[in-house]
Amino acid sequence: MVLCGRSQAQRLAPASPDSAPSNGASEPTAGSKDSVTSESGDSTPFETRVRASRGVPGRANSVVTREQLDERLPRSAPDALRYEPGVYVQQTAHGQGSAFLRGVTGQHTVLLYDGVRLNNSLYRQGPNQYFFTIDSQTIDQIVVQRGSASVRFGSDAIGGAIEALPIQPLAAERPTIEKPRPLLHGQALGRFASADREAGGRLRLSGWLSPRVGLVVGGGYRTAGLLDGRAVRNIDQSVAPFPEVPRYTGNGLAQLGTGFREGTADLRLVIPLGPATGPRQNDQLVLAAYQYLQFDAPRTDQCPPAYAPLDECLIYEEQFRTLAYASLRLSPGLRGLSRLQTTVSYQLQHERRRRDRPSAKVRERGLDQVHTLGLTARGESSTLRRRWFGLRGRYGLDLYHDQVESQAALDVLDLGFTRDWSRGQYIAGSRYTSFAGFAEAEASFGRYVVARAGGRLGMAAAWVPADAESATQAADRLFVPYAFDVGMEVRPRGELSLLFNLNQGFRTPNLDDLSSRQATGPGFQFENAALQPERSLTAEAGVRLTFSWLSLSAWFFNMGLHEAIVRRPRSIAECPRGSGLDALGCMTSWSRFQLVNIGGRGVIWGAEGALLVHLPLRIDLSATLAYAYGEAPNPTPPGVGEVGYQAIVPLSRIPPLNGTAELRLRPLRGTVLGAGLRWATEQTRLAPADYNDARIPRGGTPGFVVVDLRAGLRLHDLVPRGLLHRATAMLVVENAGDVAYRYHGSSVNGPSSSVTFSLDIER
Amino acid sequence: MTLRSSSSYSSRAWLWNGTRRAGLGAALALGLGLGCSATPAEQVQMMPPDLGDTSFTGCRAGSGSVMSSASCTRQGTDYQPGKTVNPWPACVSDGNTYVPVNANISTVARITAFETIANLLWECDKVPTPADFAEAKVQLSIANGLQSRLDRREDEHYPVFVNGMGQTLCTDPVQSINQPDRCVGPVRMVPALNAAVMAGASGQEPRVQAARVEGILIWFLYTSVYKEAVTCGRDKLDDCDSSWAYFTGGEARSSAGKGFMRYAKVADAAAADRVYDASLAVRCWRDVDRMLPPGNSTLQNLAYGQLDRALDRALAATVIDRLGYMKRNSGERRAADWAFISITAAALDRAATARNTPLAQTLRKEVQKTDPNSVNIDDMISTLQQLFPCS
Repeated sequence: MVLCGRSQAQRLAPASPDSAPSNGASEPTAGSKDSVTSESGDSTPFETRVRASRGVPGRANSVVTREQLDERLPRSAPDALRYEPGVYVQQTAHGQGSAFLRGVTGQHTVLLYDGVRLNNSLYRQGPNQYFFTIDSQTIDQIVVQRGSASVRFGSDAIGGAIEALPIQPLAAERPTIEKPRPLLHGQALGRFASADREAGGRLRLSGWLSPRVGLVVGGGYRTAGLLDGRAVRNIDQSVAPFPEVPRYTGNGLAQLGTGFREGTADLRLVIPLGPATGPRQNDQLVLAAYQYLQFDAPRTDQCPPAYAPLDECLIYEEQFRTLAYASLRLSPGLRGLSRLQTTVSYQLQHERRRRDRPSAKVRERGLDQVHTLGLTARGESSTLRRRWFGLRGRYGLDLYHDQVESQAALDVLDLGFTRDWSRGQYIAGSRYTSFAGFAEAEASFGRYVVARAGGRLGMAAAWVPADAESATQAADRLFVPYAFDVGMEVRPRGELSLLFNLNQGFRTPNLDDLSSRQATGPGFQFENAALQPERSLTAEAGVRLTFSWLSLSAWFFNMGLHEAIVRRPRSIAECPRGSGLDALGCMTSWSRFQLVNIGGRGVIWGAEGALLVHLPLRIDLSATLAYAYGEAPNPTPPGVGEVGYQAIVPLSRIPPLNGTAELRLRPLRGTVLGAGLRWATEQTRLAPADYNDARIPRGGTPGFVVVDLRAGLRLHDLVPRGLLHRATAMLVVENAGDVAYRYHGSSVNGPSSSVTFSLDIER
Repeated sequence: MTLRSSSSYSSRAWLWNGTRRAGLGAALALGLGLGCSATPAEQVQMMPPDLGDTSFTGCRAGSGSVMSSASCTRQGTDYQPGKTVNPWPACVSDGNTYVPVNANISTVARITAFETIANLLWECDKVPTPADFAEAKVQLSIANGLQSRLDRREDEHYPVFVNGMGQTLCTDPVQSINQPDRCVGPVRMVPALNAAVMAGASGQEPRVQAARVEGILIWFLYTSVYKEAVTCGRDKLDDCDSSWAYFTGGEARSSAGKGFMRYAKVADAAAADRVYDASLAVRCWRDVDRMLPPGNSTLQNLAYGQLDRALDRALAATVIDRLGYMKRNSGERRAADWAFISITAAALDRAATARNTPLAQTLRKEVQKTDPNSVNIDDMISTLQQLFPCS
């Protein structure tokens, strides 16, 4: 992409053992071919960008570049994925976003930041907000890996993985011993969006303090108000014309339960350990810390809940993520260890909730924190070549340990007292440890065939203390998960690749499964300490066609789910005993669920496609298409004499047939114009639990077609050279047709016709 | 679990334990603690059962002041389980047992909470302490508990009050006050309930405040039975179960019942039976006609009419029964009786006006009296018997 200059490939590329080879190309989208550009705007090969990414070779993956982020002006990191093939982004709240990969999301996908696993043992069933807690302004690339991938990514990689890679100091600007002059760039960014009156800014300093110290330091703040978005209508109009969620202010456009404030700060020190050139040039020590602070973000479907007073609201007062790590990246140059990366990390996920019920003059509060210590090591061999045969390997170790704090209380405001409950959403003092090793091998047979295989073996242990008052039983569980992959890539011609993979995924029950009690979208969910790991086996076939003017990829997959963990409706009699608010809340809830392993085999099958065409006159055209169909054995056994019982039912929140199209052109030097189209058909295949979920309109979610328009100026191309290092102004008209739309499973309707403007100046 | 003052709650404390300062609420908390240990001299030493004992069915017997409706003749189109009545076809209710649409009825838990609150505040001639009111407040405040439903309760006898999107405006704190009859829960019930609990927790006339809580909750149950029957026909079939459960507490006809049914049974068992019959009528109609919106308006109207009459009679009998107690009582007990009656009798005003405007006027005049000793109890009983003689 022309506008913003360099991407990860040109920055100080880490010698990452996770890097895919050039032939592990990813899916194309508009702006991706020339997304890596030199300062003068010259394109580097498409493969260069992919080489810097961390996609698993031979698998379905795609990359969002910094340039695409700067053109599309997404509201958040999840929002940045909306144009990616096979990705469908759901939003339970304005300050939240959860990406579906192959029909699953949340704890069934892995999130990573610079190789550090973000998933922890409190990740819950269904969508979650955690990728939103990555500041999109710190991201250089987002790599989307679709399909089961537990060999590489461990537990939770049932549907795939999403990794954000951070902005680094530019390698090309690194001073030398001979010319040690520091080179720093100051950046100021301002942004405004009319749909939610979002206003924010960011300052960043990046560059090199000396030949031995690279630096990226920044901080930002933004505030967003109520989000304007036209109301979608119920498909089933027999009861009500519009869904109960969300509710609106008097103008009928601003959605209640939206808005938030956000502060971010980051510091990244890169300490090169080798010379500026040569095989050790990428040896480095990285010390990094990222802080994300989100305040007062309501959960839209609970602010207010369906049928409740408009002033009742569940609000996330604080949603913080602290991520700090030290990473040593070396190129020892050994045959068995050509590259090595070890990372020690610490994370704190902090969540503080408040449910205001002014009418009752009470306030419910909850606080959950999980501290995560991580240690990972990744190694990669050099390629062993014997005439027509080549062999290389990757391997690694992962160790993560979680420690949980959790509290809940009820403030009775008019009487002036607080009732502390014996437990929170989780049990304080719970711990979770996982340890695993994996190895992957890739063998090439001439130019035509590449075979891949890998395996992972590990252990995971969960400890949950008992709590007598809430009748929570202690849990002491040990799991021994494993996974295998095999794959083959056939290249009958240089432009054509045929890919076949068989990949396993697994998810060991986490502390949320084993111990949580919480109000979820479809109803009250309580723990099951006896859960077993769920597993997936994905068979997929893909085709890639790559010419200089066209890139095409298509994937077909069939993912079998075994011992799938799903919500089974429970009776009131099955609610937890105990005197806590949670036990009583279970009984009074409209519906109750417990996570169970269902027998039998669930299945999600579907297809994904992506096309990129480079036309004359510097015009790019791209399109994506995705479909998934999911079903599983009914988690509810048939009632006595029940008529019309369905033994097989749809899986919850499977996205409908959906796709995107993008047009991008650069008519004049320093300008870019574009248009995006997002569409989805209606989704009326609903799981039993979906019928109780206020996020889903009655009868299902209507389809939509939304058009976004973009225009930008690359100001540094228009002023005398050297005056500005980089300066861009970008304007996006979102939802130009002012369509009422909603991504399936979301509480929030999409923004109405609105503009987003960004001005980014760097000297 | 622990109880503590929260008036100085800091919204930005890292972990709230240890970060909160004692505040003004500490005084109240101290008061609550003292209240717990006090045993008023007039408190009857009849211990209520454990809060978790759901088999408890109250201490109160009928006052004997109700003229039983057992001899009443039913309307010719009333559904009668097991009997062939035109135009009622054979249906799921013919076994004289309520067959739920959905076996899990969350309303049952709310009625259990009602009984828990009853044990805390008024059952067995209890004089509740401030701590009892505090505990009752917690019970009321359970997520999706009683108060959450008071917050949204609408009286379906009045026209709908909706915005341009067809969504109710009764949940809008600003708009709802314009339609207090329709938005009866948030506009009338909740403020009165909050005030009574607050006063009780402050130690003011504990029997009277408890009786107010009792009266408001009975009013809520009476309103809810009909409301859920209506939304069963408009929104979802499961609401028929809630309608039945708001009356019975999920108990069988032969049982002592819980909640409103317990009160009605004590006052006039036949009146309670007629409500049960009417619940079966609603269920029968929705068994025959499961469409949304309904397709059989004849059965719908018959069922609603039968339920409406039965509920009015059951509440009237409950009021009359309490008037019988009031007649015997004096002092705070009498004031408590009147607190209950003035709320529940006022709830009958709409039905009374629809039946006989002059008599309704008479009833209204009595209900508006603030001094229990000035109430003409016999006249009031007579008026109620005339207005609501049968179901």
